[in-house]
Amino acid sequence: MSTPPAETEAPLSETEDVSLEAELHAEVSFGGTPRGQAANAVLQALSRAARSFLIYEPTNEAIRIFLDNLRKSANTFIDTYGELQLEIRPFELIHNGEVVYLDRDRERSLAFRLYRDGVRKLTLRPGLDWQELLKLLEVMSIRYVGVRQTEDDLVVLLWKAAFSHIAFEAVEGFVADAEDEGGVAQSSGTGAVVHISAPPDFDLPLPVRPRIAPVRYRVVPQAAIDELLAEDDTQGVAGLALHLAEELLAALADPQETLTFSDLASHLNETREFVFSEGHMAASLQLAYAAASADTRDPKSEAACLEFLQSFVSAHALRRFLHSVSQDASDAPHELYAMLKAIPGDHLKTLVEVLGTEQGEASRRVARRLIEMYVKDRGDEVVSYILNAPDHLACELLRVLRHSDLDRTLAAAKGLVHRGDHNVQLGVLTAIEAMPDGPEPVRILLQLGMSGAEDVRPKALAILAARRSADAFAPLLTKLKREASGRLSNSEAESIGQTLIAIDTNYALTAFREWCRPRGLLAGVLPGHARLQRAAVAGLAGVPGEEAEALIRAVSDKAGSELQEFCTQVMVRRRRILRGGRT
Amino acid sequence: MSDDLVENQHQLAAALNRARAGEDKELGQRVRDLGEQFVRLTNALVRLCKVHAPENDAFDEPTRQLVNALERLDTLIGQVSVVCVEGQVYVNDIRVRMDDRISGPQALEAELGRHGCGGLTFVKPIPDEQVRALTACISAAPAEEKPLHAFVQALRDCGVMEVNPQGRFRLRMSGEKTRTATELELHQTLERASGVVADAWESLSSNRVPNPLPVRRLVNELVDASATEDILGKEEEAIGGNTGSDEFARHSVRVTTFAVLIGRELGLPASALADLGVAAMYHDAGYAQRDEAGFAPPFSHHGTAGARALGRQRGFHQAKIKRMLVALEHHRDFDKKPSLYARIIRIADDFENYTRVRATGQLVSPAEALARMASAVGTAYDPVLFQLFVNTVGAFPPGTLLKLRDGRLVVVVSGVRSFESFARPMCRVLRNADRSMPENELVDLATTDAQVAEVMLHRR
Repeated sequence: MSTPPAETEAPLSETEDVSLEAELHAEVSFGGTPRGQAANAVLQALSRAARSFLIYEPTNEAIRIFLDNLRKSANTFIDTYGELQLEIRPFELIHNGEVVYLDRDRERSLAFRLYRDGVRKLTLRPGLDWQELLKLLEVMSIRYVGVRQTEDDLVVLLWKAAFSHIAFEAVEGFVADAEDEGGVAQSSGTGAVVHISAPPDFDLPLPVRPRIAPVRYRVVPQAAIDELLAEDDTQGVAGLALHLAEELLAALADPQETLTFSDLASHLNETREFVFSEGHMAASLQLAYAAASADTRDPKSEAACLEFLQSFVSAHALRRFLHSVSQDASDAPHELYAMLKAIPGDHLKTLVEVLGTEQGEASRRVARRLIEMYVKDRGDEVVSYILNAPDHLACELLRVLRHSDLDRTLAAAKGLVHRGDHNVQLGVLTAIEAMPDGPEPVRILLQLGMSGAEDVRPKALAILAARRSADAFAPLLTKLKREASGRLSNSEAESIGQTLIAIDTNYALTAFREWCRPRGLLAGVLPGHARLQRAAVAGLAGVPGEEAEALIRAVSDKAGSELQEFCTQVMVRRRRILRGGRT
Repeated sequence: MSDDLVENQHQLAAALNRARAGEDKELGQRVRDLGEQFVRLTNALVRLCKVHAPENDAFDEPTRQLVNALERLDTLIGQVSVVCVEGQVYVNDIRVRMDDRISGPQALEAELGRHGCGGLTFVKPIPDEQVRALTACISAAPAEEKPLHAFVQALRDCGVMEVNPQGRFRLRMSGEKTRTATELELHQTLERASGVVADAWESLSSNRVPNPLPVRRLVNELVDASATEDILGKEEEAIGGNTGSDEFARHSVRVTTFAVLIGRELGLPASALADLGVAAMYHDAGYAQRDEAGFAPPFSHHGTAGARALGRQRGFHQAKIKRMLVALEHHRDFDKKPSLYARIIRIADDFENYTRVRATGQLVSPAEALARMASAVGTAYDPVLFQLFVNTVGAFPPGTLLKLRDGRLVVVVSGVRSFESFARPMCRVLRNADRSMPENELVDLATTDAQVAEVMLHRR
């Protein structure tokens, strides 16, 4: 009698707000001897690494830190002390009679997880390599995450792992107690009263084989065996799943078949989820095509089929796909584009929704590329989404537009420029930077040049300077004069001065002359005059010729110490520039 | 931080994703909840029995709830086996997790333990009055001698016929005893296989969600055994003549044995052999289905019916995909490109079908079956896999009845042990030339002068 137990613990919460530091200090360090301490380090590292997928996003760097700790601590122990044999107790792990791990928190404790799953002894042997240790970690992680599988329990998982340097002593099942009275207990395999049998003619008629052929022992070439073994490669699961789905869908065409599309729906959905999450987009497309061409004879099946097809491009499916893309992915595979085109539904809306919730840079990048295909035909809708979206999504969508539709980018930028969020403003700046000059872009840049965000204003001015936008000269000059005595900072004044010179040197010099050599008794002491001079000096820094130098010196001669120091710096910088040196 | 750690991180995340894809959250949770209810209500009713007669109104509500829980469990998982072991309760292999503040499992274990009982198997849900009788029997004082027998008798006396008390259990440890070390254990495994298959069939025919775990554990034992033992010969010795076991279950076990042997000869790793074995156990699952009139599907449609039944198991798992493909394709010819496992099981299944001892006797001998199948290699059968099978079972596969030139009638009990013994297997003597019937006498055709005179057919 043997009916081994299976694990059915409830999944732990998907995420816990635990900082890396708190995580590192939560378990008690144990082990009095150096050997015990080394063992404790291995076990704490194993426990943390196994828990890490519960706590962190799969791509979080913290997980790599835990993996690194595990690898190092295990190598250190085995290199120094050899075999690590552990006795598992409900909350403690014992090595050489010493408690080397203790955690009484059932949700966290490595000891409790092992004990609860029936493991009573665990031994890591010399020769253990990183891949084997990773496999152990994988098994432990699955248990920590709380996955309940109908296919594999812990004992099966360990059995399948076929470790070479990790030994377990585990509870393998129940057995009737030796002192049982005997004859009464029954295994679960023999207790049923009602047995269903196959029909008496099962598997009949037999294939007719009138001829016979000789049967001999022949050595099978290894190449032929290898070819067959390659078919059973784990990597081929997607292909098998697809093959199965196609077979089942094809069976629907048989008028004698009682199978319906509805019967297959849940299996097909699981297959779709799998191929999506594994990034097998070609298989996904093939599955969608197979479903689309399936024979759906009744309205219920037809509805189920449509629902299934739409599930390929649902927000959930798209998220699964996006989470599967590699960090350096720049675009979605063409199959996904094909599905989005072929399957009816408002996929732009779905993609916008998905983009709004994605965290990863790669997944957002790919989502943006997918949305781009709708810009040509539904550009106004995209603009509308931008204008009504929260700041972060508006930024993302603006990035989509700026790659594909400049006119609409401008329209969206105009709508966004008033938003206070500096990321939005930076996004608008980037979008405008890529546009040709014109009154509207200049107007937007001027607005951003007056933004409340300190990191936005200089960038906007720099763009205006680079473009030499004549339309910007007068508004900037006005701003400088108006705000010189007020909120304008020194650095902004300098930026405006440089921008004015860049846009129109002659007009700028006219103003600068006036500020550097003020006429009238009071002109030099009016509020804000020093800041105007600072702007002028900054602008003159890159202007060749003696006049510019004389103007700077004129300012320096009469300036206070701060402005004087600035003038000196500019003079030095200017000479370097003019000599062709570095600033 | 090295790049390989990034790669390792991705590998682990992908493995977890796959594991998550394969889980059936709903089923496990429901069984766990109902199991918890079962333990709590049973304990409550047993306690009530100590102060009230079972007819008391106080029993009404908890009894109703317990009946309901058992009915729901039956719908989900079929026959319900509750096992108490070391302070834990398992319902059909699924551990019931209870609040630590409630000593539910321990209390139930203690109450049943007084009767020498470690668990209860409910063949089917029991009605209100039987629940009252059961809890009264648990609550009653145990017999001084053979308490478990007395407990069983007490239940039967009260009319509780569908509850089988089990003896006490303890946890069995790996390494405690090598499972495949003795013929006795392999014999027991093979015998138990029929019961496990029968249970699986009963569950499938009732439209329940398939639970492959018990079948998988059994197959794991066969796979382990096949690494060190001649399981073909042992299988023949263990159940070859056992015509009492269900023919269909026996068919499944034999197909599994052949398939595992082909897989092992091919060099599949143990985990893949286990997947293959479970697929073989379930290959004819379609026949367990019934239409509205109660008929099994015809031969032509049992494949799709099987795939549909196996597809009821929730969660994506590669083993499930392979099982479903096998159910669908195991009669498909090689040139129609069925999957690898389906091609393996096609050989195993056809061989078993040709050689099975039916009510009318055996259609062809195993040796002749091989020769006829050999004529269809390349069209019906994968040539490589078929040759591997031939190299495993030999010219006279286990179960073949042979008449020797010296007049003895023997049955083959070994597969191929070496190239030289391909046509000279180990045999058990059934009848001597003088018609006497020896007990357990073996003759090794590879090491004796005994010559095969004639291949015979089994007759019922």
